[in-house]
Amino acid sequence: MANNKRFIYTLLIVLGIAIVLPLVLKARFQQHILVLVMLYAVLGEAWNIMAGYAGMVSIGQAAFFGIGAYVSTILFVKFQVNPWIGFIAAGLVTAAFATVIGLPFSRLRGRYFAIGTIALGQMIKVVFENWPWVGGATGMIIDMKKGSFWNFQFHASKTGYYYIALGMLVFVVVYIYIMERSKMGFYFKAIRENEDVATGLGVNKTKYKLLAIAISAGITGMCGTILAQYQLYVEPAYMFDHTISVTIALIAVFGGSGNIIGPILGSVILMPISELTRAWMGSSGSGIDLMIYGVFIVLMCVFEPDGLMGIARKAGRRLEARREKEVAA
Amino acid sequence: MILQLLTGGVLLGCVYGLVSMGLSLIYGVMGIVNFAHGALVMLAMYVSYWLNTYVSLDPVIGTPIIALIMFGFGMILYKLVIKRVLKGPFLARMLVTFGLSIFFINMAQFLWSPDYRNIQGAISKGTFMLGSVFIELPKLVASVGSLIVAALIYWFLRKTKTGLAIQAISIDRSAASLMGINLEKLNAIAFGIGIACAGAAGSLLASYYYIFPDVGTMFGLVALVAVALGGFGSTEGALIGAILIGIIETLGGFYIGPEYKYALIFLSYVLIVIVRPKGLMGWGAD
Amino acid sequence: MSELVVKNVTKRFGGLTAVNDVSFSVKSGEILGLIGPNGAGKTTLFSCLTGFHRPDAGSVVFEGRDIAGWSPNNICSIGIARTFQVVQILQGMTVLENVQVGAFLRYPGAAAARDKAIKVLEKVGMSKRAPVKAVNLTLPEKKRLEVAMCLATDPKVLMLDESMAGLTPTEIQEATSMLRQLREDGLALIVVEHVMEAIMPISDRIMVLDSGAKIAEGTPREIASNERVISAYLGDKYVKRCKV
Repeated sequence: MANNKRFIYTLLIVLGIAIVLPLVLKARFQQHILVLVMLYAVLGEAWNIMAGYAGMVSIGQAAFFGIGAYVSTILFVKFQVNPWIGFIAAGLVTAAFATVIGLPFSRLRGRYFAIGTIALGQMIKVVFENWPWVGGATGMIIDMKKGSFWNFQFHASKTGYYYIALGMLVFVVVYIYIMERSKMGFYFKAIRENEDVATGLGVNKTKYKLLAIAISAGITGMCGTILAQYQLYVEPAYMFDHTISVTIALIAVFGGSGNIIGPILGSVILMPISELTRAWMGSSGSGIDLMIYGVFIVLMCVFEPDGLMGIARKAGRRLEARREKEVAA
Repeated sequence: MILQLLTGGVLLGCVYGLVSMGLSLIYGVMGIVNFAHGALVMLAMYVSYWLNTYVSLDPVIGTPIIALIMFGFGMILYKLVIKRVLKGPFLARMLVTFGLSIFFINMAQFLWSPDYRNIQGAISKGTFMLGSVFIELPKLVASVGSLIVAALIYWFLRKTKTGLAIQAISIDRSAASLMGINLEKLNAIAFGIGIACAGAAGSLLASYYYIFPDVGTMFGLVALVAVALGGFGSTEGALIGAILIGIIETLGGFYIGPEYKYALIFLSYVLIVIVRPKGLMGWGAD
Repeated sequence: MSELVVKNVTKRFGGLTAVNDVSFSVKSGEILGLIGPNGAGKTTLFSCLTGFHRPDAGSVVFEGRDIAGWSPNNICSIGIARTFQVVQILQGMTVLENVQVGAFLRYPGAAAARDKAIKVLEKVGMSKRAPVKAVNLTLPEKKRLEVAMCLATDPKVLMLDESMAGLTPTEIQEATSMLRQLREDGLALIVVEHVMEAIMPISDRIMVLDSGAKIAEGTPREIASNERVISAYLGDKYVKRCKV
């Protein structure tokens, strides 16, 4: 219990720092990085629910991300619906879509599921590229409105997006914290570990798999809305980019999947590295930022497959062992 | 017309088949889904391009050389990276080749720019008519070449001692190692052969296909789908799956629209795998 | 008082009939031993009764409902649990967590499920191993954990598939006294076992399968002297031992 309390206090301190951070880092580029760090932390956590806890490795999260971005944008551009309603709608529509897709997908195991998600991502992208009503391959532009919280648009400073994403992160972390300790969390993990055992113990695996997919997709879709509002445009090549799917999975794995802190840690470390290398190397087409990414993934898989949290746990254990030794002495 | 399309589909499918066979072999032997397979096809295309530019080696004639280079490269890759994750958790085994893929693609972009290149003055060029069917020679050469390489590999796996040992591993790993088969060495060879397949395919493709950093991605994904269709671990299944996909691609591209052809391939994957969760000829665990 | 009534269950795999027209019943407070040579269809029969296979024919009636073809989780929910021949546990989770997963079926609240899991672990004598990751247990411990996971779902019928394989004689003693205790608690038990010394003394009735078909059923004494069983499976050694 004391451990739990310490964990919560640590989280609160980190949250405090996160709230103050934009007041210190005021340059436009710094704030851009902050927004991305927050956004990908949420995306990584969403992936974590589905893959880290429930064991369904998705490399097609961009499908959900893009659908979310398009839902709020379509509502805003075509029907003048406030983006906040679009934000909620993005979550609901994406979750509903994921449930429908998830029904057949939940039958697939392991790599068949993963390849299926890649296929899904590619298919959805093609559909949107060839759908004239939503602007086809050129996409849609979101009209500039007066920057305000109500309009979900911020122009002078990007911190608004940052705080919205932070709010989402807090929400998601609290949710996962509760989930981890509840029936749902245990059932997710049981399905990840061994589907046959889980069903043998009364777990309705289809139901729980669909829940995991829908929750993960819904959160991911809402992140799509945040990015759409941040960029003020949507286009298939960007919103459904395969790189987004890979980055999401990478961040979670790099930080350590299957626990709360991992994806946050992964995003905090990887996103700035990626954005800074891209900035330093000048033109965004050079590819060096993604090269570094690739190296990171390989090194991580080879040397520390449990992610940074794995290293942290090991260090913690060593520390404890030393302390015990000292007590014994 | 339908005959024309079917011919095109089969020709395309043969090249896909070669890429897929390598992928399936690697999976069967060491349980790794090589997401970097497409990127390695791309690297082979560049190697072919540079050999053509600097020593005027024709891509088709150079195929054995490039396959050999890629074989060596595959062995090195195995020793440096793959070997170390084989005993790791599922996620590590799954994502490591993703990392390699991202690395190779962006390395190509960094070193050689995203520009499209193509090889001028390849030996195999032009077209001819076979009955009512119009055939492009480079595509025919590439698919015949692919079939030759595929046949060689089939022969190697069935008739040589090393090949039979590799097959033994993919059927039962622990039994194979009990029989005194050196897993490490054979893993490396199998990985090398798998990559050599990608290399040979890349080289054959280089004679008529545009070369750019992202060119392999689609080949890799299509091969994944072909292997999944055929069932992971079955090399014949991979070849059949690939030809099926070649046909789906050309027919779908013609009747529904070229922009939908890859979407169709993926759709057929999803549909088939949902009906048969382990592929058309798949067996074994997940 | 509940009873599981199996009638004419058949399961075919292609040309092979793994379970051929098998009927039997088992009721609360009874241990039914299920024996037969390897490949006799014992495990397949279990899978048919617990939803892992859909029987091609026949009915499985429990508390007035025909559950043949139900999904495993629904069958578990109405009170039928099983262990697996090749031990199946949640390797990456702790012993306590493994049992908690089972406990959540009847106790949706986290605290209640935890209490239940702790109680079950005490019952099977594994309390001390609660914080250990399941993957690090010995094989007999894993088998015992599997039983604990089933018990946590509060089953009325429990099917054990070779849970005593590989145990030392002392451990077998412990296990059999646990099974007797469960019988007293009112469970119906179906026990597949190769260890004759363990199954003969505790079973109220024994059913013998050979090549998918039921060839005999009766008290252990009757089975031990049944010639058909002897020729199919047992051999003289066990016959003598049981007659003493």
